[in-house]
Amino acid sequence: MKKSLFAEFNAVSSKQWKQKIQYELNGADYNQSVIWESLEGIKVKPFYHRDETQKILKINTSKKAISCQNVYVFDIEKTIAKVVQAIENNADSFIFTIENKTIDLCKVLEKIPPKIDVYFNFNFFDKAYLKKIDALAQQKNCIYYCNIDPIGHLSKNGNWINTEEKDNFDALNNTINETSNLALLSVNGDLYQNVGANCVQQIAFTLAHCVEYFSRISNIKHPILIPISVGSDYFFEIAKLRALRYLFDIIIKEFGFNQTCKLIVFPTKRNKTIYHASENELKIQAECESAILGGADVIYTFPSDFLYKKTNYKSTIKAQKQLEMVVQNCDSSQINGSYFVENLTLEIAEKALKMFKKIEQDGGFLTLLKEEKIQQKIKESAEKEQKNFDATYKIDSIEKIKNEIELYPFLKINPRKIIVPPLLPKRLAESHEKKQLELE
Amino acid sequence: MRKNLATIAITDFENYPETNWEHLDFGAGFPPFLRGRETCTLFGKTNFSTQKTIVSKNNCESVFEMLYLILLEGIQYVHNEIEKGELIDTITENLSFAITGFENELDKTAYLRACRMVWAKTVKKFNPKNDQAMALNLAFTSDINYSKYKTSPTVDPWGGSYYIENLTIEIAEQLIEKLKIG
Repeated sequence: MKKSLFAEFNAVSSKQWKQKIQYELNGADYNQSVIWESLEGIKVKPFYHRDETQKILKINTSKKAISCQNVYVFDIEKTIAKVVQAIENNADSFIFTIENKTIDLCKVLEKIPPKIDVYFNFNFFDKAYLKKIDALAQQKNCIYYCNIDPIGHLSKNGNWINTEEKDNFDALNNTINETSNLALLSVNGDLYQNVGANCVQQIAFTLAHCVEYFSRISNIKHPILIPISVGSDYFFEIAKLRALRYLFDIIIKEFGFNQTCKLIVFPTKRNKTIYHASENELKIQAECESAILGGADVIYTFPSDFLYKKTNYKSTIKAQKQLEMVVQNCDSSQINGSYFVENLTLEIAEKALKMFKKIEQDGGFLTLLKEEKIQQKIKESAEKEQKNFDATYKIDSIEKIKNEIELYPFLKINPRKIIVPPLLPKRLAESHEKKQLELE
Repeated sequence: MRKNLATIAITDFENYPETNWEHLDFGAGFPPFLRGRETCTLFGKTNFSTQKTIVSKNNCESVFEMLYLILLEGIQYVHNEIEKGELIDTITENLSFAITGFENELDKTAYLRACRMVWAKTVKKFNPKNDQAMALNLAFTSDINYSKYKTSPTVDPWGGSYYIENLTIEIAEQLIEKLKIG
């Protein structure tokens, strides 16, 4: 610093700040008036100060996030046309959702240069299919991320995935041993958020979910993909992603693996509404920002009307442009050093680690899932969140969308035989929207 | 047999780096009520009802130019009112600034923090009775995306971020130099 620009002001310590606030509160209780308690039980202070921020967590975040385009594969020719056009427009990566194994994805993959990252969402687990994709990946000398998560499937659907092998872990081990360029394993942490788990639970459950694989998979050759969704609590979400990455790194080392995690982040559906499209748009933008600042490796987004409209060109392009802009303007290093976020990251990490250890002590994630304790914990947290949401939701009687609905926007349950009660993603506004639709 | 993970601990820390942001003690130590906690704007005290004079500038070449012109007009206004015999505390209470047109959230945070600091420095020269007179009132904050801040009511959540602090001081230095209030 060349010259003191603010010499006329005295430095103020955190103690002095607190005294000043207490004086201004005029007798009101400090803890009651200005401390805000989050759903996780984290007490957010009215200010954070340098003298209380001496040590900060060392986090190996990826510096720059890449934006990803979500492609649902149904008609191969149409998909190819879409992908080719996106590549011409400088697409950085794709995530393909594939419904069944009759779809020959290789035709699409052949068109994609190796420098572009490719992720999959398979609705099936078929070794022969994966080996075919692996052969192509070898030929192109690139890695494909397959996002195979049997435990996530069990949590979401109440059943294991159908495979030829004795169990899903055998199928995973076999496929890992017989392929070389596929990052097979993923841990879908987004489910917990969409069902209503709070930040600390999401991290603890995701890590405990990881540990079930670390104890059963003998060979982890590639980074673990962790899909995770972010809600609208901006700074909490940043801290969540940072704490998750930090804890993942220390836990995986305990198992002797040297892999990192790859966070593929997207806005949550939980807080989105079929009404108030512009509010969705603002939320999505803020959520993408927090994802990038929190250190997402890959990020994708949805159009603001995605809950009830089929994918349409106009809204997809709009959403993609919004995302590109955020990706361009933000990177994860920008938040480094923020007293609030550094303190919050540490606090969330400590709480999540404690919860994670308790899960391990009680027998691990799968045991607790089968005992329905995970479901119970999330239910309690979701109810609290719902109560807060219900208190502030306002019905806007002018907006009418009934005639525009193309997709059923509410929770659908298909009756089937299950071995554990599944975790069902639910949006906070669903019951209000049903009422509002009736009123239209 | 499950692996015993009970001994895992958070140990991998790094020290907060020694920085030479001279403004930080002042910036971060700036009493919270000056930072608009009551309206959760994070940036400033906003009291729509009492402010009679609003300074704004349109069609500026850059955001920096706009802030410079706005602050300049604010300073001139204060000088004029002082000459008329008004008290500095009354003048600033009735004065607010309409600052909009930022391209992104991070720049906006740094620009507004810098403005706040420069304005406090300006008002301090007139020895206000009440510290609150040094607060920069924002007339409207329509382009602040509230949805991201509504649940974490902490003032200045960006305080301490190396990126934002560097940007803040850079802008503040340039404003002080251009406004010749050093």
